[in-house]
Amino acid sequence: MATGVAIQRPERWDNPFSPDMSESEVDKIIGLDMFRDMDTSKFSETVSLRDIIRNDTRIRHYKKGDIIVRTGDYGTTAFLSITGHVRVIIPPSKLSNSQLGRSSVPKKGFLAALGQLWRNPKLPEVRDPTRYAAGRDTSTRTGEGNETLTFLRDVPAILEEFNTHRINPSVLFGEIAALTRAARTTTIFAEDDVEVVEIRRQGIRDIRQRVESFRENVDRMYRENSLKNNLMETPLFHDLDDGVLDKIAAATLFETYGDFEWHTSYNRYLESPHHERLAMEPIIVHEGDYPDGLLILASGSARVSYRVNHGDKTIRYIGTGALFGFEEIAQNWLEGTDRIISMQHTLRAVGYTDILRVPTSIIETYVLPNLPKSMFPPPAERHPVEVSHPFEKRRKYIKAGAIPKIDTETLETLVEHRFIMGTSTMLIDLDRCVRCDACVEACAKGHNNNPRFIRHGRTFEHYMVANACMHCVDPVCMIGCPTGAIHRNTEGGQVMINDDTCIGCATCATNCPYDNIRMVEVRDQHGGFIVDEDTKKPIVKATKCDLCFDQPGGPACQRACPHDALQRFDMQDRPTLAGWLNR
Amino acid sequence: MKRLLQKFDFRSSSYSRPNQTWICGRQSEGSPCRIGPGADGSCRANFECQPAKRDDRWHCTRSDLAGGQCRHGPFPDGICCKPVARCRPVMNWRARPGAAAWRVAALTFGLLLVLVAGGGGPAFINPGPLTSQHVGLKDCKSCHTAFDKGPTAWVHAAFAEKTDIADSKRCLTCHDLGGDSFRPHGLSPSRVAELTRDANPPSRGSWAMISASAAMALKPLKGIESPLPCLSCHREHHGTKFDLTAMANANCQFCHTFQFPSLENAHPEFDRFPFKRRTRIRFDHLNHISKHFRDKEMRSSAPKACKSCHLPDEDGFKMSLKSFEDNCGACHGGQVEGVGRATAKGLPVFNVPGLDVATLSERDVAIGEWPEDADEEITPFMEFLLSGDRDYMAIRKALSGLDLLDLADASPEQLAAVESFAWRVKELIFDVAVEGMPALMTRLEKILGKPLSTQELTHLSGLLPVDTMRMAAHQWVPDLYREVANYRQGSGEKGPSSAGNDSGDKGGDKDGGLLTDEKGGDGLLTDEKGGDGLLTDEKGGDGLLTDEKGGDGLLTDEKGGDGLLTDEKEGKSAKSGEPATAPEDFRDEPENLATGEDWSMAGGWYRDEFTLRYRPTGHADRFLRAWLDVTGQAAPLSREVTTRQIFESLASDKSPGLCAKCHSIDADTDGRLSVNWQGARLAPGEHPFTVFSHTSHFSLPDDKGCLTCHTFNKGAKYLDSFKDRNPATFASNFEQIPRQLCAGCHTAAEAGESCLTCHNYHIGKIIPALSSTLEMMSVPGAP
Amino acid sequence: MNITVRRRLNVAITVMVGATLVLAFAVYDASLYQEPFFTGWVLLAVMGFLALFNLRKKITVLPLGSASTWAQLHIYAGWLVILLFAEHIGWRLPDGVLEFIITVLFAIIVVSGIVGLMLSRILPPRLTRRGEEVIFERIPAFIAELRNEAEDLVLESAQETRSSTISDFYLRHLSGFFSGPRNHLHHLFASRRPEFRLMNDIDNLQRYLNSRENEYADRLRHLVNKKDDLDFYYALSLALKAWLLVHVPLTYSLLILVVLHLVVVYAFGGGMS
Repeated sequence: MATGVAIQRPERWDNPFSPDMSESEVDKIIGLDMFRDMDTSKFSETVSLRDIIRNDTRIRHYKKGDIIVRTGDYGTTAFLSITGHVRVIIPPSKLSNSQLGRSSVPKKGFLAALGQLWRNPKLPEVRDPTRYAAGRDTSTRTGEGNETLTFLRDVPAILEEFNTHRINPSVLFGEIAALTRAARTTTIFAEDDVEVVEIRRQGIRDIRQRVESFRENVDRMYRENSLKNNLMETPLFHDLDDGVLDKIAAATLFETYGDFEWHTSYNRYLESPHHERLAMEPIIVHEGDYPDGLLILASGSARVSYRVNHGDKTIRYIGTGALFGFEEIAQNWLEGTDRIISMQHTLRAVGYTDILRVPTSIIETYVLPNLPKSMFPPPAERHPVEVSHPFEKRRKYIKAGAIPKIDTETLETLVEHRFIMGTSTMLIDLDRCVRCDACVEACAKGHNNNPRFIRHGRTFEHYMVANACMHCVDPVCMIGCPTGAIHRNTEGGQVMINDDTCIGCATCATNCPYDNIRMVEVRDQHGGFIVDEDTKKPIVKATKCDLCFDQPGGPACQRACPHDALQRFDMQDRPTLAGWLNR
Repeated sequence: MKRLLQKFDFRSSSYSRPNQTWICGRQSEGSPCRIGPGADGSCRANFECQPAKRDDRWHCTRSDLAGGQCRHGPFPDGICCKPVARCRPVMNWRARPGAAAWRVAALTFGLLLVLVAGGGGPAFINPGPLTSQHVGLKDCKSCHTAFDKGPTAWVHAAFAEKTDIADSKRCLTCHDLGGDSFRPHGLSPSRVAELTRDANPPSRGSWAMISASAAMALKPLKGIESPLPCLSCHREHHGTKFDLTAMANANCQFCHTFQFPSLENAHPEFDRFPFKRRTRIRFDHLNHISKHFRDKEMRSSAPKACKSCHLPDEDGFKMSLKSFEDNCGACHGGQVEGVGRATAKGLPVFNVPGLDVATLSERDVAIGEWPEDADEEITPFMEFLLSGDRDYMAIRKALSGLDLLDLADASPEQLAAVESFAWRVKELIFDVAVEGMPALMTRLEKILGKPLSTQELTHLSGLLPVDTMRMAAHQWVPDLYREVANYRQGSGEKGPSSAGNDSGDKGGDKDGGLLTDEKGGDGLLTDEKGGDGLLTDEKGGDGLLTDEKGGDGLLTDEKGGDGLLTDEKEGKSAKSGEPATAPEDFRDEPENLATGEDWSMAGGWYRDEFTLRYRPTGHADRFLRAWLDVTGQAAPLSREVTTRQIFESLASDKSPGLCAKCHSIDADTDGRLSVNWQGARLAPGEHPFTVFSHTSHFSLPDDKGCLTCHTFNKGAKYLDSFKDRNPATFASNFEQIPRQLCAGCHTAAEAGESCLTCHNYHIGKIIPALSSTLEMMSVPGAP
Repeated sequence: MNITVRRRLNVAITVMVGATLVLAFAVYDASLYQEPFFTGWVLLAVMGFLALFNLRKKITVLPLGSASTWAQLHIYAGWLVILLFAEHIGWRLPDGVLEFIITVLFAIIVVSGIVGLMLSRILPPRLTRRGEEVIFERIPAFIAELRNEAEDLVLESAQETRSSTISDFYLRHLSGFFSGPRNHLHHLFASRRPEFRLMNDIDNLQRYLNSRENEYADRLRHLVNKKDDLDFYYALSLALKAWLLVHVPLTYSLLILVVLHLVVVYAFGGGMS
């Protein structure tokens, strides 16, 4: 191999996407017309396009019918094909769960649910081996680097049945999901045997930063496909007509903060002292800045705090869809130019955050003038009495109006442990819990005599966040599941694992920063461990809470608690949480 | 950061499984095996892995979760090098209560079985000792019908049948309450219904209201009709001291449509309490106290206080009267015997009614001999006795309005009636004279329509002596026997002869000497045997004559006649003997020959001219009483007239004995009359609705004594109220007792105001049922 | 809903229901019906319902109302049932053997229930305030862990310091303490005497130790504290579980006897239908 100038590889590339990228392959990729006419001068010495290609891409081969991108999955990579065509299935038409290699378990009826009482096996983790056998030969095969691929049996029939669209070679696809960490919106499969380049997120990000055309291209795609929807979802823009919305969309800027793979550094983060931890959270807006734009959290979540002596006091956290800085902007607009107030709080990205910044001028021209009085926020204060938002629906535990305060320790704990990511975080009030394990037993009853969480976990105040899946807003556990066995339930959106297709690689379990996924050795009806045919090693499966998605009554754990000590919470629904914490 | 013992990551902490009944015994050493105990709590541990043979080498297959491949790897013979020490799995704490529960349940069940098997059952299920009154009942089955049928039958009895009435019936074997035992108050539903109708003023009172309204809700379940078992009120098995008869006022109020809180508050006013009727003995307290007792002669024997006439009966409830002798005898004893009575002291029983003999003989009405001087009407008694005869009522009808002492212008039919009337009378006297008691008996029985016991006959006949009757008959119609005999044969009789005259003359003695001689002659004549024959011849001649009239068939007739005659002779000689001898004794009567009336001053029978009289034997005379009862009670039928006549005659103030002067008479609904021989007193076993114990109140009165409660009612027309025979119409000498008088003390706080203080629940006649002695013979040790 | 609000509400309801029933019984009694039968059935119904709670816990998978709702009903029905029972036996001890046994059983169950309720409300906060939140079944394992640590420590000290003072001390005072859960009652009644005494002993010990030995002593002290926390946790959690060992099993035998009682009273007290 020709030795070029030896440079110190930037730290970022400690672990390249694919260790065995040959130079020839790199050339081949650069040769693709997407990269060919990129102006390499835009790239710095240290981070050249070639480096990016070498470290952040890899070449994959798919056979006819292989599923490349599965709708609902979370991916961090984009693709473009070198040779051969791929097909995208145009929503709303979509493949069935079984075609996608997902199990679709119907909700249990009353009797079926009752039946579990005696039909459940007596021993832990009992499975029916025959199901695996069946599952194997349905529609999965082992691809290169022996990962399991799901493939569609009869491609012509699929083309016949579904409204699909061909994507030609060297056309980028799947990048939006990669950038915004939204779930894949469609399924894309190989129309014939294809060779594709897979680029991981970091790569795309760097190219986007440097190559004008590429950025415009990507942004255009994003604006067209998902930005408007994002804007629409914020109540503030509900009643604006399309023309205005387009203008706003055109003016909106995207920003991303924080480490996309934050979960890998999670434990290190936790062990470092408090002020260092804060330092690790990138600042989005500084307290005291001029409110130059309205911030919308497109994804991820952020910490709102203000300075106290040498530290920062957290007063709340905000999640996807939340607004920041609106109070200030509105007040300035009302008060007029003479008494401008600056941002009252600091906003920090917790883990990773996508921000949409809508310039203040746009808000002042298009939104505020015809905004009904009711929608105007209370005047901005340093430490405001929080009221439930006028466009929030009424909540349990509290009436509309004042939201009980969540005391600082709790708030800090929830934020720095990132428990705020959960949509079903399990909180146990240890002052009421008599440690009877009724919750665990109930859970086991609903899952063939197997608990799916452990009644231990981090404690703060007199609460415990038990080790039960929190069903995060953007589940890091899903990243990198080779078979898509871990997926969101199409109905309820619960994150769950398809036991049949799980290959026990423990990726999800390792990814989950909260230790909420457990690997188990499965057994046959007689309690013997099921072992692999050739290695004879026990088969291992990833297991976790599925919120009793197939049980008639919903999560058994919280219904089973006789002292209502246990509750599952959507942490984004702060008022409810606050109400419960202060009950 | 404080050190934590536990780690949360999936490698160091796998699921804890409290849902598993058994947990690995080595959990306690912190090293539970991965295999874990079986469902039955057995240890399933063997080796940490099952080595696999690949290209004829053994490979460790320990899973990564368990630490991956072990260093040494399997033994050459393919056995895992890490055997797992076996343990004794322990039961999860969460499973223990459940497991214990089943054991305890089984234990309980077992103990029960042992108990039943050991015969301890009855003692075990016995809910408690019986009240002292019931300790005698040792055997459960004497009250519980289901008991001796055994446990299975119990279950059946419990859930498949209704045993309360059956059980209650067993109470009745000792506590007989009569027919409607299981009805409210032992009254028939109809009775209850009408009582309910009588008394339902609007409800009032707080508690009462509630229970009443609730009652409405519950009534449908248990109406008046459905039976009330004993255990509705009497709850047993509550210990020896338990009061079985206790009953809360609310219990009474529940059914009673008239609801009220207490005695002093809204209890219904007393209705003329304590008097329900007029006194049985007609005794005017006011009169006696104000007049008679103050009278000089009387004063000595007059009572001084209430108690000299009244005394409480043994149970202390009623104040009953002392005897006639104690209370009234001193002044009224004589009256009853007839002392100082103007008219006859005896009661006419038998007599020969007066007839217009002259006219009858003119008209040739064949009534045989008849005393001309008899002028009395026929006595009610005789009419009563006659009323049994076939056509007597018809005769009586025909004679109605006819003066039997003047038949001058009587129609032939009436005369015919008179004739048969006369003969009935004669027949009656004849029968009684000849047969005596049997005759009376048959007649009475026929009329009363029921057999008479000897005792009844004793009373009704007043023990009429034979001679008195026969003598009378002879005196009235000397030839009675022959006449009646012939009459009954149907042979004719000549008109009324003067036979009666003799007897009539005989009454006046002045110029009777000669006549009596003649008579005596007669007597002589009869003495002669020849005369006898002659007479008979004459008679025989008559016989012949008649024969001649008769015509042919002489010889046979003679024989026949002969036979017949000879018969007659003997019969006649037999009879005509006595009357002939009788007069001899009265040849010369002593000056002080007493009249029958005086003769029998202590009462009894005597003849007075044409009447046989009975003189009462002082107070409570059997004869009068018997006749008053019989005739009073006799059903008012066709014969009423006659029975009533007797009753009225005896009940009249004039009638000897003066019974009805003090003994009031009650007429019941169907017109039967009864004389109140006794003063008021509780019949044995009688349970009135309202009770009052005099004795228990004796301590209360002040110096006014009884008058504290029983105040006089001066204005009362006491005696007038006895004009009719309806006991309900009365005017008591005393004021009624006012409710406030009782309510003064009878409050919840003081003397108590429970309904049961003054009222019985079980009312009517309740005789404690004695155990039947039918088995007497079978009792061991019986003779 | 706020918990205190809920409590007030439930108490109010219970009192009202109780009062109504008592009145109903009085009326029924006045009506010459057999009041005990009425009270008995109501009592049986409520007892049955109370017993059902156990069953409900077992079938959590069904949407039959949350267990906490049931628990609330169970608690307040429990208070109510005391009244009902008293009404049924007429506020006097029954005379019959069977009835007496039933009463005694009932009393025990009720008392154990009340005790259990108190424990469930008092102990959890105490558990929370001290030591680490662990899983009961794992406590022995943790104790074993600490024991091993302690023993290693002692051996090490013996080797390092060439003196057997600490090891002797361990053998004399601590080996027993570390061999398993200890001092249940002290912990249950929040007495820290045992810990205090051990600390004292260590203090006394330390008078005679040089600085190196003292380090070991301090580490040992730390382990003792940790172990004592575990004991504390073990004792309290055990109490929270153990009371059911009385409450539940006796209920079963009570129900059996009640059935017998039912048969008897109906067979000999008038019968049904």
